[in-house]
Amino acid sequence: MSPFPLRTVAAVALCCAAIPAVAAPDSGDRYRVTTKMQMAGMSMPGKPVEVCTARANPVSEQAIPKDKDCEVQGFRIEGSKASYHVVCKGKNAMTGDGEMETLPDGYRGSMKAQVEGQQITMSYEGKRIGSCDYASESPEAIGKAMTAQACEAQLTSIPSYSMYVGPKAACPAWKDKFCANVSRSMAQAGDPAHFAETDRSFGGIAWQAVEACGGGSRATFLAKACARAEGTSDLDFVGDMCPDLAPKHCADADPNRNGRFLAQHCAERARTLAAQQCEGRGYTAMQSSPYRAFCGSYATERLRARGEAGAKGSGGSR
Amino acid sequence: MRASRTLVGACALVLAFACTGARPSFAVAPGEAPIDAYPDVAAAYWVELDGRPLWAGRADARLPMASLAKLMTALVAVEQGDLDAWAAVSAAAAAETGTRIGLRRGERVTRRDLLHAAMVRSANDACRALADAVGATIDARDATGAFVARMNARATALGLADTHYANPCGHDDPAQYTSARDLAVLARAVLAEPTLADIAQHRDLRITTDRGRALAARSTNALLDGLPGARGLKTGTTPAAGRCLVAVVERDGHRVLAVLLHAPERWWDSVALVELAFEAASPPRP
Repeated sequence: MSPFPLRTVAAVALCCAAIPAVAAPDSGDRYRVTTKMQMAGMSMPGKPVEVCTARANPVSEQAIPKDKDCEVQGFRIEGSKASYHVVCKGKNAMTGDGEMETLPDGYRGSMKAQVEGQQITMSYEGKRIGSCDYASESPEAIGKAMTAQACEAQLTSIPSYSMYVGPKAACPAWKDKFCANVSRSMAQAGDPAHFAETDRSFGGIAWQAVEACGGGSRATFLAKACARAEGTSDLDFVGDMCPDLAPKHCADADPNRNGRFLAQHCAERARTLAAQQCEGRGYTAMQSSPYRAFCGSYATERLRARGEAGAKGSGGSR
Repeated sequence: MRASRTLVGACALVLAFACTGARPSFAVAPGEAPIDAYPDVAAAYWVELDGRPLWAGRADARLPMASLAKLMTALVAVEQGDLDAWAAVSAAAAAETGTRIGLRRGERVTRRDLLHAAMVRSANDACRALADAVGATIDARDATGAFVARMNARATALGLADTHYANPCGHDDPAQYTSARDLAVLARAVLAEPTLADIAQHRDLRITTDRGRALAARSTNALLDGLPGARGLKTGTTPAAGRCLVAVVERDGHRVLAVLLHAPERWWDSVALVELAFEAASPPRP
């Protein structure tokens, strides 16, 4: 089964649980609401939830769970009972026949729906268990409070940027605060170490956040970091992140400090150095040699080349 | 309706946090078989990153293991416990050939010190004394045989289908064999024992016999001195097994385990394999 019907049903079930909340905000009634869904031979009882609802008659056309693409047809009310047919189009297409009823101490209702060729039966029952303050305890009020809490909680989480910025942002009111945090935390991103750590920790998502907030792009920060790395002879960074700049540093690279850079980006000089300092020497014999790290890097590049040559030789099928 | 949609939206938002809060990390495709990317590094090899195999060649071939046998000896000894008990060095232990630390017949050394000497220096005299001390608690008449039986039982329990021990310390014997894959499993079991994971990192060894004689030696694992993040684990060399190594290196929260059996350039190639494996953990992104 595709996840769609279940998601639709779950959303509708939640709607059902909160049906009476359509009334105007006022002091409310607290109900314990139990829902049940049956589909494809399975019965899925829901956990009872307590809902604070506005005081109103739950049996009304407005109380029918639906979204903007739904049309209620043939709504009929007889005494404490009502029945209706609902047709939804678009993404959540479905048809359903429902009924609802006011009880002395609550309400109940059910709907038989056809979703993507499957029949799903939902039923719900609300039992009044007391009164409540609708202004602060209604599902809408609780939802808003939860949203606000969640939006506040993630303000410093750069990977959560799509919550704050963009057409689908759930917290657009927090965008300025979020972007200010992004700007603060990325202030040092032009530093090579900070740039590399950002890349390593967040991948592309940090740069997407920066761009979404209008704070530049990965390319602009990388250009700054490369320039700094060249200035401080951080050649490992230059080699890894700005390989186009590498050749002009080959002559000055120090084998003791920049062994990996030399081995990876300066083939000619590395070959010469390796012939002088590495080849024919055992690893253990180089315990105190300043060229040991370079030789290790050279061995790595040699093995990489052997692996690539072997892969080519076998048609890349290994 | 509007209220319930708000609630649904809030719930979705909460779920979204659970997703976006996690740091993205590179993952080798689970369940994928390792490829034989570097077939000339060893007669058999295995390289894994954070427990996920990256590369392997002839991983199930049964080959001599040399002193990598001591990984099982150490595991059995630690699991037996009582490491502070004194063990007498038998004539057979004192007469062990190959790498030795210089124990003398009749001396007594704690099992813990013997364990150190066997793991760090790969000392055969210490290994045999340790095996005999533990084996004697099972069958005093044939302590070595009882210990080897225990090694084989442990291998079976670990699911090492291509491993069999004929002696505790790794001497060449047609009935003494293992595979690179089995060694990777065994290495993980050894690393799960905090005592062994710690001992394997020691670069130096210093033990004292009951007679007050101090013995010192350097680790046989050259990686501990030169390779950043090296944590062990064991070397081995015999004429039949060639140069063997189980290397463990940890960096930035990642662990590389490399097993090489009969590797002519075991040090340089293990260094290279480890570096390439870490690259797979966080490939440079220009």
